[in-house]
Amino acid sequence: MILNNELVDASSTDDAKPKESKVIDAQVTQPLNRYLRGLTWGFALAAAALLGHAHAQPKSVALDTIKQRGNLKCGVYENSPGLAALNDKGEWVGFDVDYCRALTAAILGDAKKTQFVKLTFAQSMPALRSGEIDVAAMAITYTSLRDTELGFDFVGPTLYSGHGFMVHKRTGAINLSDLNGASICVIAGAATESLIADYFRPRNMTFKPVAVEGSTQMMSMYEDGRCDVVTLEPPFLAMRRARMKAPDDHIILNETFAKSHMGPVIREDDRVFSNVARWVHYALVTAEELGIDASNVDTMKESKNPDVRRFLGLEGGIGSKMGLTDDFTVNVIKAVGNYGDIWDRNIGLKSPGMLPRGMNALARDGGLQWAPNWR
Amino acid sequence: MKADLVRSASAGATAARVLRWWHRNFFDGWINMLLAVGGIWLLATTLPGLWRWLVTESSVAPASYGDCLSAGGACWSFLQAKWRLILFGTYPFEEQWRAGLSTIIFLMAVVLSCIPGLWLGSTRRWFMCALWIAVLGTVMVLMPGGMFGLPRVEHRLWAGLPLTLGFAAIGCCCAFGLAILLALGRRSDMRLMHWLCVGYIEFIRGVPLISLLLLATILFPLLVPPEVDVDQLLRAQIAFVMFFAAYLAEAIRGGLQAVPPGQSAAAQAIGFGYWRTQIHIVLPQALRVALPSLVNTFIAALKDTSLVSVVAMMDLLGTANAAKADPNWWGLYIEPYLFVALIYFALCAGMSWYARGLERRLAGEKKGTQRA
Repeated sequence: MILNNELVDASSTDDAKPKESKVIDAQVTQPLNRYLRGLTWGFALAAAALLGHAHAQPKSVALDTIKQRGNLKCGVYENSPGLAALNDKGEWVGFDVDYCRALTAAILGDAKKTQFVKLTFAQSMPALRSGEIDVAAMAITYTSLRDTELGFDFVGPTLYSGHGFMVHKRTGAINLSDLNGASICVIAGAATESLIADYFRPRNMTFKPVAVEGSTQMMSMYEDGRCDVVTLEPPFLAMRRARMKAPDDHIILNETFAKSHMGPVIREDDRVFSNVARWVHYALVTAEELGIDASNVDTMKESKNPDVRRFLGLEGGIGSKMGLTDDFTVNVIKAVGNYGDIWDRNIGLKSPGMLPRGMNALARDGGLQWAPNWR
Repeated sequence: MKADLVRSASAGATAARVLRWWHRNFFDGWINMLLAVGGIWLLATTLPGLWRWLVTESSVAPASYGDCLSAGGACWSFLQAKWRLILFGTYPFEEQWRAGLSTIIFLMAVVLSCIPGLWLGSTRRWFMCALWIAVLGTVMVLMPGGMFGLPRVEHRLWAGLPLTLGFAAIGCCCAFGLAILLALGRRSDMRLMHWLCVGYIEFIRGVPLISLLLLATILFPLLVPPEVDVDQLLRAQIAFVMFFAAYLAEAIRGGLQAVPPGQSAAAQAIGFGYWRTQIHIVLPQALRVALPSLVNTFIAALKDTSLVSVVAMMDLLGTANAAKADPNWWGLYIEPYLFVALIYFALCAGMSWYARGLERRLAGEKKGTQRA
């Protein structure tokens, strides 16, 4: 008994406090006093925990809506090879698609309950705001304004990259400085145009932006010579060049500019749902770190490793504190595998894109993908 | 010997006739000569290349993307892998026979209805009505399912040819009904009714279809409370009906204006009320006059269904776009576009061919009545 109390007490002073205050955030919308009230409530709940009423399931309008509706609405790009496209059987496949399947499996237990809504980039944020979709898994670049002013929350980043340039060989450009006065195809409304402008202006260079609707149109316009330069994340440039009529006529410049870190986007009005969305990505990464995939997840349940046991919901009750079931990670992994599986299947070595992991390798392999601890 | 002479003489005559025909049709004056030579040159330069692309250098299954590239011609194996995706899109693969069957039944009913003889006499008319009820009932059971052991398929998964056909057919029928009311309203003596109809028609005609569709799909959910969830398909369909009703109304108004005022005056003189006058006297004549521009609008409507792809629905063009986004076949796009272009062409050409026949028939009828 004493031992029990001590355990609960310790957790309530260290970990439970910020967590409980987040629960309150969902209910109290005024930003003022939030911290103080959170603190007070945290203590109050810690006291309640001491009396033995430890877990109250966090309340979340977004989660309740999704559970009631019985499906999760996920916005994806219409035809973006590797990220979201239809296969021969009319089923959605791709890197972004798999994140949505994972999120649905976490909340509803069945990845088949994902409802995909195809959108263009310009439609994505209005659709998210109006509640037409619950999440926009459209490789949207994480920027401060989108996070703060527009009122969105970002998951991940699930995909790290920078921007690279591909040019027609006939232009003779080798360095970025050769691109002065070039016409550059950019997707309307995307961050790329202002990124290029920021790069060109201090160097006294100019460019002619040619606005297009989507990446497929952008590449075909570039290939037809309607613009001299096209910019995308270098791995995607390589994929696109491999499929051009004359790949040797195009050069991908060695230099990159700007950073891009992309991930699924959600509304920020529901902290609990935000946490779930974020921790589903971490679950995918953690599963890769722990070597868990769809084929071995059931045998891993027998593992004695406390990290694995906590992660798979056998101990600690992490899932129910998020408003999910304790074994939601098992459902996620059974549905889509781990982060590495998703990468390989859609854009990596097992796909036509054949992209190396690069920056998106696990942190222990020298990349940037890592996950906080599950405890 | 004599027979030979006769034969050669007739052969000579035939040759002369052919030459004359060529001369009359192609080499009559220097402008025609220039056009003929130019046309023949154009055909001679393009046809062999087209033949090579379509047939000799094309590849069929099991050719892969790489095989197609090295062959250089059309990649039919790409279409062989994707034709079901293009026709039915996201409709569940195992259930696609339902979408296919629905499309076939619907098209057959349309073709049957186009035979004028089947509408003559009340028995046949009743039979046709029963047929249509049966066809629509079957389609409405097959497509959504959820009964008779068929798994349920939600509206949002409907795609490809059934979506395009259904959207256009329902859209045109509803728009036609609304358009008649609008056209009559615009010519009405009631001031309020008149101005309401004028306002509606002019407003809709001043707005592009695409903005109405975006309004219905993106703005509408922002305006209504989140609990109100009107089906996306229905919202787009309503926007489509509203748009084409305005255009059809103007076409019908043109027809109405061509009917001499004496016709309705005469009808009223023998005691017909407003609606009986319109239905039995004015509209039959007006629609006959308006037929060419009505068909024009119907064809435009069929092709404009492809605009719904901008509001997250996957019509025939949308599924063709989806087919070309497969990383395994990436870079090929002519084949799926050619495939859907042929389907659109068959539908539109069929419609205009039938309308031409109908016009001829109605013109003949009119002459007959005038002579009598």
